[in-house]
Amino acid sequence: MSVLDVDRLQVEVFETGIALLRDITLSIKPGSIVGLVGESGSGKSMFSLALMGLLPSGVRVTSGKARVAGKSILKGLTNQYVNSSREDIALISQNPRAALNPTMRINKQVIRVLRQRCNMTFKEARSEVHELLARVGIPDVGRVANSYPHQLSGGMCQRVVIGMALSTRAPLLIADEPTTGLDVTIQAQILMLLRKLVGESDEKSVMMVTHDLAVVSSMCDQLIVLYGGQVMEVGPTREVFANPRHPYTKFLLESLESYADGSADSTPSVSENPIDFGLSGCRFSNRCPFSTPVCQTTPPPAIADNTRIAYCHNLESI
Amino acid sequence: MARYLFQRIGSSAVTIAIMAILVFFASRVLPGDPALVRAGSNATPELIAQVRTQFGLDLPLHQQFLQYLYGLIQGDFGTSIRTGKSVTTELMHRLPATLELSLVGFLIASLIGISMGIIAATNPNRWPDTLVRALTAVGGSIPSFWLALLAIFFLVYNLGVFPSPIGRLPLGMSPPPRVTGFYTLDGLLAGEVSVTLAALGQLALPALILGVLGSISVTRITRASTIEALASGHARAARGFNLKSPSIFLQEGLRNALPTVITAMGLVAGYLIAGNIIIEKIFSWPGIGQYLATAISQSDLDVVQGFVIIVGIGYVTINLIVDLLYSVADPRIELGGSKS
Repeated sequence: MSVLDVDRLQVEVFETGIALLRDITLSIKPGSIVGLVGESGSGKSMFSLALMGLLPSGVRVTSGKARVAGKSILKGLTNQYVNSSREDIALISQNPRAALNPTMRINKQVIRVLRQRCNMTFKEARSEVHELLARVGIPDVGRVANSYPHQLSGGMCQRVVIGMALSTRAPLLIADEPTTGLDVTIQAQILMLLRKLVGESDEKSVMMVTHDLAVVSSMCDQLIVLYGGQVMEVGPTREVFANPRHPYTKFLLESLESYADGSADSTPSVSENPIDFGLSGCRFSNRCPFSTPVCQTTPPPAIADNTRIAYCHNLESI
Repeated sequence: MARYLFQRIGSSAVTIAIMAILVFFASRVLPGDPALVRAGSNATPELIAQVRTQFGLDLPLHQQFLQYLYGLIQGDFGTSIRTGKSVTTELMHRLPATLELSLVGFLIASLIGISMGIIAATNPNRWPDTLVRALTAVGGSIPSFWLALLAIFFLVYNLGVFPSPIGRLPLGMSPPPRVTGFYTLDGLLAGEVSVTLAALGQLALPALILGVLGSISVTRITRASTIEALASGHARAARGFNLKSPSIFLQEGLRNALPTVITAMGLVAGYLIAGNIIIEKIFSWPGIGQYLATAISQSDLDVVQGFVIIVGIGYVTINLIVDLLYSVADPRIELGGSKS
């Protein structure tokens, strides 16, 4: 059974009917780390907010299904999100220092999560704090537990947040840019920690929301490429990196390579049209050099190939 | 902590000293001749000269100033030219009346302000919030004297809910033996419950008016800063951990709004100490505000100076308390700016 199963999820701005996310279909297997990548405006953060039931006002899920650990998280006639299922997801947000309450000591914050999410008594929770912090690799647990967030480094705060996310026992952790704003060495440590924690249990999975392809290539088993609120390509990370099928993925990886060897100044050969959320066809069609008239009018079909899926009309001709 | 307090008290003393100097010269610039007022309208030039000599008004300005400073250091604000009594004694005699009224007004303002702010912040942009915002907009545009007159007309004259605005006690009742100067407390201390109840009754309407007016800024700031705190990263993270809504409202919202709310309450406290001259006048409240109003109209300079200094000390003290509470409410604030 998948940890996360999303079937044709549609998220729209209520007043205008503009689809911010269109027909998102994906699934995440237990014990895996999946990278959700895309540039700004691709809808990757909107997707995690939709799963959390934290969509901004005026934006709502209009159709589709989403299941976490087999439980449907979209209920009711209007597909309005019901809070009760949110317990199966925990969100590790970006900017760890801002994610912790500045007016509470760390141990109080951890105790609070343990009491409210694991039904522990205050005593039970208090005795659990040190063990939990040690599990996420915090060295001087006693000092950290007694500190306020502003007294800790960003990396230490992120460890605390990850520890709190783990303590919720949610099978799905959504990590939204978990390493932005951290030093490169600390980034690596945090990523290794996440890897290790997922490796320790067979049920937990992590969905990493990021624009950092380097992080994705080192961390993720699976890759989901989003553009303009639409899935472009899905597949095992190594295969997608070695042999991208979708034009957008190709350009994304090319831009990474040319950036790495310094040969290009910006994204190559892709027109700089902004994302057009009004397009009835493929959202990438107004930037895609392989675009044909059908791309503009009809959403692309899912073309599966073994473990991989690409959403494109013209895969054969490319 | 002790060092910080010491520094702050030192700088407060400097502030008050500067204020004392300014108020002396400012009051000399005021139009009106105290000696003329004291001597009366039919006074002979000789009598006026005599009054000048008696109160030291014939001395050169710098000598008057030195005398004033010398008195201040000893806690002596001079002599009221109108009554001939010590200003210190008269102000201290009236101060408890003002403090009692201000304190109750402040409690009412905090209570109404924080509750209304919470009600609005729990339902942003829905009808309770809209109602609260409408009330603060209306309340903020009513002058205090007008609200007081309306309240007296409707609540005292028409409906008789509150007693007549004739001061701290009803006619014919004598004040309790003075211990704190707060009639409500002194009544209890003397075992005269009826006096306490009567004093509370007299206090109710003016305190309520001060409280309602003071609550407006507290309401607005409680509402705005709680809503802002609930939109912050840690509030989002708390929702991401699926913590319970009331807990998020308290810990992420209200708790993080607290420093700003304390600041707002400090401002209201300062306003109440200095600003209830009009309310005291309307309710015949024998406090320092009413004393000042009379003193200004009679060119009673020493009283004006004494009032300004006492209110200044109150203001500085409130600011110090706000800063101390602020550092308690927000662990990121280090007293004295030093890192621990």
